[in-house]
Amino acid sequence: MQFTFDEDQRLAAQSLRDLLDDLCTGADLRRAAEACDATSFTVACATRRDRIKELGFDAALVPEAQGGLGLRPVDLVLLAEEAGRAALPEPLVETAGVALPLLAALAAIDPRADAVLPAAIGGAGIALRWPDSDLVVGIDTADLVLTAESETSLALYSVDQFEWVARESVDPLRRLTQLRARAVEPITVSRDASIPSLWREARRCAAVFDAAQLIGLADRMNALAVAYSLERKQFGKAIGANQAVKHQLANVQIQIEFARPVVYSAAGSLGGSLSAPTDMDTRWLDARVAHAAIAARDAADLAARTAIQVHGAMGYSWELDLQFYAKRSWALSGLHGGRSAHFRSLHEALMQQRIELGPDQLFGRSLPRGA
Amino acid sequence: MKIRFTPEQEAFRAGCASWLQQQMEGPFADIRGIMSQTFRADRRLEWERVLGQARWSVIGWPEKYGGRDASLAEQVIFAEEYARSGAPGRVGHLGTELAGPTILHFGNDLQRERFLRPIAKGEEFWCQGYSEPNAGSDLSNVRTRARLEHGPNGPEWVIDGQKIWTSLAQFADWCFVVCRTEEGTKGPAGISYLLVPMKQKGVTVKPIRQITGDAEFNEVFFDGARTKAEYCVGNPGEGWKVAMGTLAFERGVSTLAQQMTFRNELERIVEAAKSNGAASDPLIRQRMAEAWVGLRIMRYSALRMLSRATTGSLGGEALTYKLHWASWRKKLGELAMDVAGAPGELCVGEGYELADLPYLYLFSRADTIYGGTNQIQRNIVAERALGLPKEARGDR
Ligand SMILES: Cc1cc2nc3c(=O)[nH]c(=O)nc-3n(C[C@H](O)[C@H](O)[C@H](O)COP(=O)(O)OP(=O)(O)OC[C@H]3O[C@@H](n4cnc5c(N)ncnc54)[C@H](O)[C@@H]3O)c2cc1C
Repeated sequence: MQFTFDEDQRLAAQSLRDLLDDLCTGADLRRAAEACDATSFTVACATRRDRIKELGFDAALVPEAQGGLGLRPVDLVLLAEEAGRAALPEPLVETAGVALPLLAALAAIDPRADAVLPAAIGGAGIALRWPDSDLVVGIDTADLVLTAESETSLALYSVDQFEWVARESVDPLRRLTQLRARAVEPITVSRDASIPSLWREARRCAAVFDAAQLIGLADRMNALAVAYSLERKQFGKAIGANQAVKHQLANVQIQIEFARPVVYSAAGSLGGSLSAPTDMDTRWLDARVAHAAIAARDAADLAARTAIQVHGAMGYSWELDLQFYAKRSWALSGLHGGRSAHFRSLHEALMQQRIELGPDQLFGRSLPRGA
Repeated sequence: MKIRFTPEQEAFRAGCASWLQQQMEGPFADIRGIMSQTFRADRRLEWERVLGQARWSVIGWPEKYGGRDASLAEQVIFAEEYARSGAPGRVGHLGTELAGPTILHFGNDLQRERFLRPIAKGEEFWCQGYSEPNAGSDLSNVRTRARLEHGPNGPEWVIDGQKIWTSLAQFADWCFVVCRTEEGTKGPAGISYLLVPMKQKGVTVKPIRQITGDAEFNEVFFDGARTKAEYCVGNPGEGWKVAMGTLAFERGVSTLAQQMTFRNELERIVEAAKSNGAASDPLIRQRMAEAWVGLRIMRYSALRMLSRATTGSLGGEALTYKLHWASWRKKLGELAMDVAGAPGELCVGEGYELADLPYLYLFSRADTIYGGTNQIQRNIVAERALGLPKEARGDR
């Protein structure tokens, strides 16, 4: 495996980065956070949302035969990192990385889902409710909802089948809602034998893309802290001139750089079209995904803690944009069972000896394809 | 080494515990267990007055100023029982723990007569005017200045400048202001420690919102604010020593008894972990055990310091104390957030009202910043306790 990205992958990430540097600045985030209700929030974010749609990443992972770009998860990982770096309020990663591929996979086995797919690819918003949660992000801009009672089925609804109440998150830019079903008529519901494995793969994708967002968030937080340590003077010199500050910032960057390849390689091991790669033991795959989630989370955690500390009291104030990145990190860190669940996956993989140890195994086999 | 309390001290413990319990189960049940510093402020101010009337507010002070002449051990016992009872954080602590002790120690009789009893009775509240936009860790860089003027009310200080991060200034009647009274001076020289009334035309308080959503701290602008010439603690121009004395109070005795608050917090976390299943996770269990170990270390250290302190003040070990508890508490906050898990992300009420565990997480981010950051505390330990060379300034 080569830990480098090709030209297309880098250009795509750069185009998103440019757009977000422009339209998702700290000031933009603050405006959105201070929007007093869902409508004004939507208005505050409208231009950016439209421009992101124009980039056309939503259907990146949908197979070409179904009208998508037919890309693989690893092609999206840098985009997820950029979304994280900007603490993007829109659910780009959730839609392109998970919800739309899941709908496409359903469409492949279910004609009624297939009938809706073109609209979803064409820009209809799609929200995902995980079977074990009643919270949804991005319902305000969704037309469709994918959900299930358990991981043995998958149902597609039109959004008007639900009522929802907004739930305020610690992260003022995560628009969480709690869904309540009315007398619900699904567009379709499938109990196909392949559904459980679709959910599992969707979870792996979500975990890896969240990890990528955490890397971007960590990088942004450390960049903010570095910039502040150069600008802020105490004792007649920049605070960054003190070894005690310098070393903290260096430690964060080291942790980020060591987490990056872990996340990239996990993305490289994910299969396209939400199918687990056939030549890889899924337990091994789960271990990789868990490792990525842990490494990214720990990097973001350290980055947040350090950035707040380096900003002094300023870091503790609402006025500073840092809080948006720190709080997004905390929100993402707790998802998919959090650090504990990921460690459990690793333990299981190790204890059942599915991860083979020894130099020939560590470096020779089980390397992911794609990246 | 004596690390047990005497039977008399235990009797004292029983006495304060029962009074506190009565209050917290009776008239003040509505403010029991509140974590936020500003929530239900009017009831909290009332509670301060009740503490004062019952002479439980500042028990270590001399009786004539509203205290009980309590020993250091008794003060710690009271503070422990205070936390155990679930009584809320003291809105008056800047007066009772910082301004009061400073005036007792460094002030003159006139100042003691004027200021101590209203603090003890919960009638006057205080805030701490140290930090400025350009004077945080480097406190001696303060620019707020004051000059003596002989006006119609006799000699007065006229104060101009800005303070920032001033906790609870919105409730304060007085502020102890560290400012420059000798023009052209730099660093610790030429600084005075003035007691300035807050409720006057020349003082403006603007709240600053915190990451918790609360606005406990403020910007305070002094624009020709006035105070009597005699409200300068210590000699004019020699206020640095006084300011450092206040910090020693902030980092010393008053923090020894925080452990009981910390214990309550750890207990809440353990309870939450038991009820939501997090306690079955070996990683969480280990961190809970580590938190308990850190808490016991704090307790033994506090008892050790207390048993050595004969004069009512603490020795050099106290220098390390802030560093230890602040680092411990911050980790406790991280444990709280992990125990809360994904649901911890949700606010529990309108206007960014957080549940206890997420609040603790966010709140504990500040512990390693206020009262001297961890980095500064390490410099203090290294330079004062170990005698290592001082860090060079960049400008002098
Ligand atoms: C919740 C809260 C309440 C507060 N309440 C009050 C109050 O009531 N009254 C008041 O006066 N102040 C108050 N403060 C302010 C507090 O005293 C200052 O935040 C603190 O002294 C640090 O100053 P600063 O924030 O300007 O950080 P800075 O001094 O700018 O420090 C920024 C970073 O640089 C590091 N740093 C600075 N110098 C050095 C060095 N020489 N070596 C190594 N590292 C260094 C610091 O450790 C920190 O990480 C409060 C702060 C908080 C967070």
